[in-house]
Amino acid sequence: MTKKATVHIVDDDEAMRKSLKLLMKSIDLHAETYHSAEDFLENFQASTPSCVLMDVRMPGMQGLDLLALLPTKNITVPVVIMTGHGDIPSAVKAMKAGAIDFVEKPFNQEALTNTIKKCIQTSTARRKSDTQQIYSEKLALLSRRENEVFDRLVKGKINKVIAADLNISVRTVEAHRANIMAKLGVNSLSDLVRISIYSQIYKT
Amino acid sequence: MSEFSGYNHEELNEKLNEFLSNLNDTDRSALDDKERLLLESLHVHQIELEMQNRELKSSQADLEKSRDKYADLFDFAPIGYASFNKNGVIEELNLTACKLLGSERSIVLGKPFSVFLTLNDSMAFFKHLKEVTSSATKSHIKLQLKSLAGIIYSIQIESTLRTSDSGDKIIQSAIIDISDHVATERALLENKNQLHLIINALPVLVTQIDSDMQLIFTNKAYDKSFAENKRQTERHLINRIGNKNFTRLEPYIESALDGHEVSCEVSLTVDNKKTSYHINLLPNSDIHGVVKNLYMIMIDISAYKQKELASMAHLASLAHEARIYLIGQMTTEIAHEINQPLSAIANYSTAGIGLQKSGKLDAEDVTEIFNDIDAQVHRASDIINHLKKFSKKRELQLSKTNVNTLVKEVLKFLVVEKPRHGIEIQKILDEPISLTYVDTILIEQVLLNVLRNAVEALIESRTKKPLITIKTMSTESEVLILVADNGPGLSYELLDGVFEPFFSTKESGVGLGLSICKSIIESHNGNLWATRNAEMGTTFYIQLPISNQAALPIKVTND
Repeated sequence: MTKKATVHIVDDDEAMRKSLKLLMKSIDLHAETYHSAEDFLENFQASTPSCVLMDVRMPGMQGLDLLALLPTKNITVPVVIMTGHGDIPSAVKAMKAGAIDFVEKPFNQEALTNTIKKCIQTSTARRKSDTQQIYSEKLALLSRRENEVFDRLVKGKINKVIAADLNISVRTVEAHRANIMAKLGVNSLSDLVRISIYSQIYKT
Repeated sequence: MSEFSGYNHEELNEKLNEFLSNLNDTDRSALDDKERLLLESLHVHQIELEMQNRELKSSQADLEKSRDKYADLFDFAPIGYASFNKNGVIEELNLTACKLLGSERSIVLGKPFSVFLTLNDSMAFFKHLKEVTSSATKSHIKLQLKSLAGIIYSIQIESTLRTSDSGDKIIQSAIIDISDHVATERALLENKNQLHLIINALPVLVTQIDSDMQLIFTNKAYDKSFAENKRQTERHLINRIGNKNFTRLEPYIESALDGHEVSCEVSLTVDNKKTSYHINLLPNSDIHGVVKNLYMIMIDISAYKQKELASMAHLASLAHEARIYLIGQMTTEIAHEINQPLSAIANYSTAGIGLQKSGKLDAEDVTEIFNDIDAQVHRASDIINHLKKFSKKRELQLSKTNVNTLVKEVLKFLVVEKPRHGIEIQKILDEPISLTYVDTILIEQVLLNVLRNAVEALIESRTKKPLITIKTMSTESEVLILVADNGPGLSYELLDGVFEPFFSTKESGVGLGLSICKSIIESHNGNLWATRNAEMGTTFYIQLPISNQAALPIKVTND
């Protein structure tokens, strides 16, 4: 543990790069910054332990394009995608394209540091199967109605829409939602999405 | 007939000399020659008489020739001549006069002239004769004459008095046919009357003013509008319309008196009511180009102004709704745009706390962190303020604006769209650019709309290397903003259609955006249109005039 882990930050926003670098410094991590996907491809130096923290939206090559390109360049470093708040479709796409996890802006700082630390510490393969195991077990606990609500929640639908979909009141949806959170042991929508994505990706 | 009548002048002279020499040669003492001497003397007398006779005859011929010449002049003069006795009986007249009377001299002579006149004119003619006879001065009169051929002439008679050898008073008159002149005069009068009739029936206010501000002419509409305080009879402009109103008109009147045609809009107080007039001032110059007076034509445009204001208010409200809709469509982008600085702020503060806890935070870092946070706070609040300004319902207001600034502002808003889809935006801004009077929010709205259209066209068509070029240009009279994309381009039918209300190629589109944009630009007296460009994409042109503010329908504020 003498060698400091490196976080490779790819973001076109200068303030984001600078603040993230400082944040990494505060949790005792070294950070390299890149202003675009092209910049990353050109200047990335593989070292372990490390991970990539990348914005999904950038001028020129997009985050998702870069994700797809990494295996062809033999870059195996785990990637965490940063998405806008509520941008569930982008998160889903990123996970399917091979991102190990995603964080929403503005960040829940604790969640961010945890995600990054876990990402660096854990071997990706093991982590994936572990999580899949845990999430599958938890999902089995949901009732049929709760499953229906869960499916709609992770598609980014708001309570009102779900209520109309299932022909139930908004209050009932809220109750189901609270139950789902409790049974799965999570406290945010992004956690729900994460569980959904993992269970879907690794089921097949 | 004497024995010498066959002799010519030279032969007579010769004969005379012969007789005279014979007379001298004769021996006067011889008595028997006495008889012969007498005879010879008689011969001489006879010859002398013959010669005198001949001279007289020649003089008579000359006189007759001369008389005939003057008679011809008299008869064929272009104006008629006649002599009347004191009762108006024609005693003499020339051929021109005969022609006017439509008859021959022999028939007309001795007839009273009044038979050719109406009863009224007869009386006037007798009065005229009396006047000439009694005062012995030259006098004239205008009459209607009906010739025996049935033709009516307008004539002028100019008469003087002459006394004949026999001591009778004779009135000698020139009779001039003024029918053409009278007809022309009548036609002119008729035209003038018609013109007056029309001018009086016009709803516009017409007045003619001289350089001393005296009203030469006012039409009915003018009299009706400025009838206040029984001023209708007042012929001085300042007294008629009041000092305050005059002050507003004065600069334009002065310009017109300097010889310029002036067109202006002036608000006057009429009957204690504010009334807007469109006024044309036309200088009226003499042949030397000196302005003698001017015509002022005023049209009451208050109702039109009112309507214009109402339609402006309507446009403002429509534009506001369109902006709200636009913002609604951009929620995700705007949220992301605000999220960026907020995330950075959160990162800075968390990092600061973390570093401070682990004791790795020095004073320099603190300053930098706070400065960075401050910058990000401003970044976020700028966006929110702009959004607030953009979504607020407001009246239209013009201010002197650099359109390049508007372009930059809008691109800040749009910045979110382009990275997500890799769209490159090229700015070619004309610096320095002429300033123009515009409503900044409305023009930003148009720019945003046009730019978003371009972005959407590029995204939908999945154009390779998508590029939007935004270019500004200015001339002396206008500012032009071009927004060009390299997308698939609109078909020729659609190029005009895109500005129609409820036109949309998008499933989710309402199709009001561009039609409102067009109304916005037209309310600035500008133009909005689209063409296909060389890259086969679409180019939108926003043209705005650099006009004086008074010409614009929207009110100007100096904020």
